[in-house]
Amino acid sequence: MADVIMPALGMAQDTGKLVQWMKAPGDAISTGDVLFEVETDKSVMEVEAQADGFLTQVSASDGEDVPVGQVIAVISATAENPVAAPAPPPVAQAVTEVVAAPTPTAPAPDAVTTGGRILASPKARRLAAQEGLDLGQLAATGAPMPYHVSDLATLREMPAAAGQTVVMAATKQIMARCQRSGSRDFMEWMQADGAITVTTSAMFASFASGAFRAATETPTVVVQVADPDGTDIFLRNPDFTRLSAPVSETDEDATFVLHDLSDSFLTSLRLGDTALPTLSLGSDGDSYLITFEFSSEHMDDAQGIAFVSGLARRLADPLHHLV
Amino acid sequence: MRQITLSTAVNEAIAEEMRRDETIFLIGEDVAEAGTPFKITSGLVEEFGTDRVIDTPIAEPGFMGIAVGAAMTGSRPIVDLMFGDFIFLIMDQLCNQAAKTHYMSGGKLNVPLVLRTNMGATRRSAAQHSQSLHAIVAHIPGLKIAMPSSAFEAKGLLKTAIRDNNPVVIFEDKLMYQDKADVPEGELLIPFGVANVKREGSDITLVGTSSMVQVAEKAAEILAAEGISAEVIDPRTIVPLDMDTINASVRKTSRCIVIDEGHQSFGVTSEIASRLMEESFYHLDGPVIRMGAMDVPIPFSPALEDITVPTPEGVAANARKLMAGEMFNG
Amino acid sequence: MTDAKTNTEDYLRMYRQMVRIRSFEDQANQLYLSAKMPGLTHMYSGEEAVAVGICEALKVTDKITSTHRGHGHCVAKGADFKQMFCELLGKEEGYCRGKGGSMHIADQSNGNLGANAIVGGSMGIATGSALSAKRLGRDDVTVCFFGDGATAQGLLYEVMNMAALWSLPVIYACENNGYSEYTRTDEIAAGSIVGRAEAFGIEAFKVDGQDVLAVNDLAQTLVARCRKGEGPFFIELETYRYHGHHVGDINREYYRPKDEEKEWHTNRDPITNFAKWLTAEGIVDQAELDTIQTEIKTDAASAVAYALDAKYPDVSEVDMHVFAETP
Repeated sequence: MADVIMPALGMAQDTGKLVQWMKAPGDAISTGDVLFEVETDKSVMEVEAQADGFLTQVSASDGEDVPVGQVIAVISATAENPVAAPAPPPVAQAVTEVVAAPTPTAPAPDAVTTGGRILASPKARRLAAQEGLDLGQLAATGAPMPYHVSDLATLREMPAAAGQTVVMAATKQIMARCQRSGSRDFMEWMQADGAITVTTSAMFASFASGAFRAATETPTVVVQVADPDGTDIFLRNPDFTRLSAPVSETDEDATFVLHDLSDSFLTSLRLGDTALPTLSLGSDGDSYLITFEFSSEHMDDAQGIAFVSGLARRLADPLHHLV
Repeated sequence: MRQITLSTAVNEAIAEEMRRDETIFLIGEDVAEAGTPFKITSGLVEEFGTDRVIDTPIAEPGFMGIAVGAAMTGSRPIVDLMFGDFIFLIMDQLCNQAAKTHYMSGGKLNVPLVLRTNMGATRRSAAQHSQSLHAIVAHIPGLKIAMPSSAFEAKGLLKTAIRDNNPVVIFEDKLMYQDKADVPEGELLIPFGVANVKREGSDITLVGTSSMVQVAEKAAEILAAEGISAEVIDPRTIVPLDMDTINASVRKTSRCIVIDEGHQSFGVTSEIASRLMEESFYHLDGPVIRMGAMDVPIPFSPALEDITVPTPEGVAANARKLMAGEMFNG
Repeated sequence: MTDAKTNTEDYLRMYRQMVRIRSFEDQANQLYLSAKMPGLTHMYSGEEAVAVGICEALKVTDKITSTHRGHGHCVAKGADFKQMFCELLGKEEGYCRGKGGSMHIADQSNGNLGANAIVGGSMGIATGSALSAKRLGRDDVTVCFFGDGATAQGLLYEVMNMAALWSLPVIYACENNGYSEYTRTDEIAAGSIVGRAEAFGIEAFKVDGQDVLAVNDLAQTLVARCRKGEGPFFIELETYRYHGHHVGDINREYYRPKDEEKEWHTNRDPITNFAKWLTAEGIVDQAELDTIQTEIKTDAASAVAYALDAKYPDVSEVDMHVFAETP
């Protein structure tokens, strides 16, 4: 008994097409008889019998693609069982590697979504990222591209853009407490004596601006009055304006941020986010609580202390400030 | 220290190694009494006899094949290929036989042979005697490639090559045969895969091979006068290639020009530039610039030939562009 | 052992070696057709008397270079079935750790410098091996096996020239099986094959490559003369390959008539004819030869089973052996 197999005849051939059987099941076979024709690599070849006997157990039909190496018939000593039982699963396929379909991935968002591409050397990009510098700021100035490491010096001189993530120096905090009575008396007096309504926020902005200027000798002070429910207001030099007059708003960059908590349950904010010096004013019974966060990039410690002390003095004794 | 020519250094290396090891023999066209057209092997036949300094017919594939078989059976042949251009004649023996035998035999057979040949244009020899074809064989795994840049390297690298158990191809620049350098008498072995920092600098790295090391050094002189500090690196062997030294230099300077006398496209300069891009990308402050021979057959006319190969002035000009942050081809 | 083969033991050894080659090839053919063997392969069946007649005249230390149709040379030079089948299947225990395969088996321990998949590619190597032997004072002889097709390669003429100039101990053994791949030899080779060697002053011989005793007698003489420094020599061995150029070349009537194949199978088979001679001379009886056949077939089948079960090399070996270690 000898197996009849679909032969591997070409290089890298996985299957052979059985063009047609030249012998029928049950036929007597002699070695060298042409058993069937097989098509590989666009040529048809005749496959000869390798043994004498009878063609039996034929399991592949004309026109069928058969994995190479698979038994498609048997040449046996007798002509019994000319047709095969249902073909077993092809052995050759068992070793076929199953390649997992690639996992579909969402298309990557276009990296360049903000208009023009910025040309810069890989090293300049890496250093800019490490230092928190935005090459876009340089591009906005019209500086010619491509940018190199030497261009970063220019960028370092430029003020950081709003909303830009900056690697922070350590946050420092100064806290103070002062009596509210002085301020309350002052506001009542303004109302009674001059029919002038003074808001807490306006008073805070004015007193803080004055204290800041005195402590740091900053020529222009822009106070960003935070409004958790709306748009922050940017006030330019509010201490230069009388409390009765409206303060001019500005679109200049803020000098510091002011949170007025006096009408809320909050007493103090210590968020550690000192992109800008941040002042929060809360009330606690008969006291105002002053919290000031800053870093060494904004001012030195003495200036910070002078600012908070000056603000507390102004709040405790507003007339002193007005004088 | 005494100064000798590159030609003498090669001769000395062969002689010293042949005295040390009886299995070494020299084979090639006109290597015996004629001492090769460049007179490199003169005198060797007088000392070692025709049994070990073997003149062959003009049959490069034949004697290359014979050398491969001899190397597989206990000999350590040094093959002299008169011109590097003839490497195309021996490609089957070199690349299909010598390079693959150790691997195909699963490590059972070794082919310890040295193929000495040459490279370099501007000798008015035209297209079939002027090529620098080292990149073509460097592409084939199993071959080591050495490129001496002076008489010192020529001696040290050749002696190391002769002792290596693999096929090693050495490309000597035929224009440098009469160049002199300090070379110690006696033993000198230069390890493969260790680059030489010829000159230290901080602004730009110039990687040069063979005679292009001299070109890079001259360019560095020009640049130094302008306040640009160039570092010059000679890889000495391109297989194996010492990327550690090259990467370290480029990470320091952020800029690099690679200079090699093979044709610029698909060559050594491209390979080193690619590896720098992969391995030191975030340290580059400008593109790595390739400077090879022009992609033309080497012309005969001096007026044409001289402009096909990199020059110190050309290297300096590209260095200035890099320093100024100018764009290349764009 | 290399004295004249005048005793039973030597005859039986030659018979056994020829049967071993035939059994090896039958198994290899089946492995390939049943898609258990990767790549492609070329059968030596029919040419056994060439490899055996020559290699039986050689010592272990003598060298051979082989061809893409090289399994016969490898077996004849003393290789082991298991390691050969492992190599054919790309297994770790193969002669080349699975890196060479059918066309690159090298068996250093028996002086086989390797099969070569470049037609004519090993002629330089064989000649260089002879140069090494002569220079280093060894009495090794190298036999360069190649086919009639390889006589068209220029390398042969370059190295025969040098071998003749330098009197090298090399024997160029041209297995003329009548076909250069898919083309009749008389269509690709002008003039005489032996005349090519004679032009260099090399003594050249033509012998019936199906007659193992005739081949062996000639080889004994030439090997001995090579050892005395009288080489090189050239032999043209008239032989026949039973299969096509490679295993898949099964419909070949367009270049080779079936009648011709039948004639060689029936009347010129080297194993059958040697068996007839052995029994006619009363050296052995048929039963003894049958026993040898059965033993070897069993041996080959178990080596195949062993190789099929053997493990593949670890993937970490892929970049091993690119370069040799240098101490």
